[in-house]
Amino acid sequence: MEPVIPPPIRRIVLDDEPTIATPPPGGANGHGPRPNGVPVGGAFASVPRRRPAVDAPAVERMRVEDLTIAYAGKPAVRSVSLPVRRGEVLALIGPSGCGKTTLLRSLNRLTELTATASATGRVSLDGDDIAAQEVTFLRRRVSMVFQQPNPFPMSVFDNVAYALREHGRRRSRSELLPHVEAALRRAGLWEEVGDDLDHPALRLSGGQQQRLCIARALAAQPEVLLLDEPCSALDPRSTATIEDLVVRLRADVAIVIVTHNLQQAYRVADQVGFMYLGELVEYGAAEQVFGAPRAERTREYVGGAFG
Amino acid sequence: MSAAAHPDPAAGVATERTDRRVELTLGALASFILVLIAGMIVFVFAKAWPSFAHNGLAWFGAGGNVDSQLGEIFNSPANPAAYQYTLHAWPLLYATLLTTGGAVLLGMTFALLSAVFIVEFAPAGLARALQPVVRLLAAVPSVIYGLIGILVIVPFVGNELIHQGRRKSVAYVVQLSGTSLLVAVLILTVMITPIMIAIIVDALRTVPRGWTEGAAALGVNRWRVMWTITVRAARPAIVAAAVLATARALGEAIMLSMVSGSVGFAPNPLDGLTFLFEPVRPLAATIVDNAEGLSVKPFGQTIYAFAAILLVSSFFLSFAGWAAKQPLKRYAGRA
Amino acid sequence: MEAATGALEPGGPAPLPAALPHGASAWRRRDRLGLVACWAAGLLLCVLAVSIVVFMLVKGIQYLSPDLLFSHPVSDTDQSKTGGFLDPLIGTFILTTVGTGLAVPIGVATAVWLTEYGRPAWLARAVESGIEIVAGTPSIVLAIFGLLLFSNGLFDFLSFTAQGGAVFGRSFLTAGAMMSLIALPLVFGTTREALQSIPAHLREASYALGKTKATTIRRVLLPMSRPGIATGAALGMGRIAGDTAIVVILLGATLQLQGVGNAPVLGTLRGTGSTLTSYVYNNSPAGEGNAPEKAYAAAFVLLLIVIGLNFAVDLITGRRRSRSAWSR
Repeated sequence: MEPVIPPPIRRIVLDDEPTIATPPPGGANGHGPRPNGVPVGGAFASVPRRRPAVDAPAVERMRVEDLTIAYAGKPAVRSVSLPVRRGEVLALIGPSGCGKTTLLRSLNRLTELTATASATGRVSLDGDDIAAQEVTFLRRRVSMVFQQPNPFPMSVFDNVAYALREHGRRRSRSELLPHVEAALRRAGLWEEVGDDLDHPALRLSGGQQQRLCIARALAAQPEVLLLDEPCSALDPRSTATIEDLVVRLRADVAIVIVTHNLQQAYRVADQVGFMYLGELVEYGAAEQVFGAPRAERTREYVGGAFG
Repeated sequence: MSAAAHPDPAAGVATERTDRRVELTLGALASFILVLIAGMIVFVFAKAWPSFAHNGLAWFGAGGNVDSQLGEIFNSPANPAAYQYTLHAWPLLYATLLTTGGAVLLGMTFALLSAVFIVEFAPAGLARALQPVVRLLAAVPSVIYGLIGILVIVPFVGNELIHQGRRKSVAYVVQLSGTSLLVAVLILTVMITPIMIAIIVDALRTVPRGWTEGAAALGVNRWRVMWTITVRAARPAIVAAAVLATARALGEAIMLSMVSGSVGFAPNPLDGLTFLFEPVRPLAATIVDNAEGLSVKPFGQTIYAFAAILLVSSFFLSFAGWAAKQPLKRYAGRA
Repeated sequence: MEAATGALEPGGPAPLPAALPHGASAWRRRDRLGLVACWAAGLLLCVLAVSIVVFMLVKGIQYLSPDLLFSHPVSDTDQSKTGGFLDPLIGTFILTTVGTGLAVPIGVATAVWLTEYGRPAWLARAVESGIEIVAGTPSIVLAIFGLLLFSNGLFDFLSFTAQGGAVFGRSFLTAGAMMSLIALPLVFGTTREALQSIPAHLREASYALGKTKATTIRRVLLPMSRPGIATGAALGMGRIAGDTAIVVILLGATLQLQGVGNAPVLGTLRGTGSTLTSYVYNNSPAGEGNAPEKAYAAAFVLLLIVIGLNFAVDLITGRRRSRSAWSR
């Protein structure tokens, strides 16, 4: 297991001392702290991350080109362009309301569920414009896991097999069982529920429910997995479990994760996109965005000046 | 607050006693319901018992013409020892099963599809407009449905839909006029559907959005999401709606007595399509039609026997509704 | 328990089973059929509702005239002399009043007892089930039971007693008593909902001021539940006004109001009469009368009364109803 990097120390203000422990002068790139107290790199960028390597080079699965999304005329995402690759985890970070969730939802056209949404620009999956495809087909290939665990009011088996049953002809339970087992293993849930697959899904704990939702999304073997702040409703142990499996899954599924937890983004991401007020302010490798951010805003956000 | 710095402890006891008295009074009023129901069950069954006792299980069987049997009971001699009780009520029971069952099946399908339409597929303006309309339909008194039935539908069926040939084919058994099983089931369906629609729509709308969104995100189309997730989650409400509608259909007396025919006849499915045009008379309608004869003792007891059957059916219905909801609770969890 | 032993298998994760083939089209034929069926059902509902409303409107306006509303019905073979339906109209009014007047106190008392006291627990459950049983009992069975009950010598003050001692058992009082059972579950239900929706801190505030439970109920809870009680009463009145079975059996079916005894109000209540519902029933081909025009007119008036009562329910509950589950 990777070491869990503790968050920056926040002390109670007694006198006029700074409230965030700044890194030692020098940081990751040799500059001293700036005069207004905002540290140059993130406080944790100097700690190396230990993650399992991916054998194959990253393959581009989706590409967002100049995407703008507006709700009732008000733009939520402005001219964003970025690639999504298999073999790496793309983390979208930014303060609340910056459009990262909207961008995520546009990748599988869930923004269409809102009546007032309009979009310009192009999102392509393997080169094909997703707006031209049948939306249900698209969503089978690009699956999503939500912030609040939302397992269906059925048994564990029925939850995971739901997508499989809906997508094809009638299949018997024995036909579906290997796929259900594979999905539960990939989600790291098999040990806990494998002996009683008819357990009601709503009686699982929060972390187990979220892993069940991940298993459910993985069951139909999607090509891209979208995660919308999957751990924000969970306790730290479940969070660690899910981060671990996200990193493991990236070898065969392209993963995009939205998170407001900078430490989590640092732990799991290969590429990071920082968004602010709908614009993609910076996009790059995680070490670069956290260690040596190019844009001023990124530096302030990653340093904790606002959130 | 009062000016007393230290309230009198004795006053506290007095208020305790008033509280207790109020509680007992209210409790007595509430228990009045139970006394009433107990009384109802005891009285009706006591009155009905002789009819069952004289016929045994054959009461439920078929045999002979129900109407003529009822006539004989009505004309019993005044001597208690010579009271007539013979009755084979199967045609009436069969008619009740047919009308109630047919109306509930048709109504449930119609209500479920309409509710899904209103919740998911209808344009917003239409869905909003349908709300007061459905409530209005649910509030219309049954006698008005009966009036429209008997003045419009029955003549239509009698004149347009029943040909002479059909009439002749069964003329030796029964007269075909417009009052028939078909009209009864159709109007009963229209009567019980609106309240079912209202209940099911309420339930469909309270299904959490997380589930429907989650299913849509898995690549399932709108119809299947509605059917496999939303309707499935609303199953307890659908059961409740079905129970309510069945109870209403069972107890419907006036409308059915107006449109289903005044003949205690058991329609014969082997007659083919004519089966639908044969007159029937369910239990509740029989009670209403024969209410004047209640003063004749054996006749009254027979009528109370019908009421007893209806009572037992409604108890059984409540129990069936409760039992049907139990297995649904397993997977619903805390949601 | 942790993912330390989770998906990690020695030598890397197990190979995935070959992906199952996807179905050909996202909307299968059965889904399309289902969609068509839904639309058909919805449109059928609209057509049905519109046709019923329009039909009754047309017939009602065609046959209703003011003198029908204000003249007494008279039994006559010549239809032009049979008068109007003033007595049935008054009869509906009397019956609704009696029925609601009995149902509201008992219903409210039962709801208050159940939510505020409810001891012992088995009694509370029994009372709840009892109300449900009453709600589920067909009105014809209630009517028959009422006849059985009130034909007893114990209740002879409620109706007319014939020379030979046979208690008639049919009067406004007896019919009203049974009608109250129809309205009772509705009043009970809405009152209980209203009481349960009053937050606990209001009760606690009252107790903290030293008020007894009884006073709290009387001064705090009941006034706050007034809209709920009124809703239940209006719903109950609608159902009473529309019920025919109890009227046919328990009201004696005399066209005009026939009082019993000399007391001004009590005499009428102990007497027999008819209501709009029984008037419609009797004037249809199912009854003895043969005046479909009068039946339509009376049915129209009845429909207006019932619609009016439902509208009153809407007014009482205010805008809350229209913002309910139905609007998006």
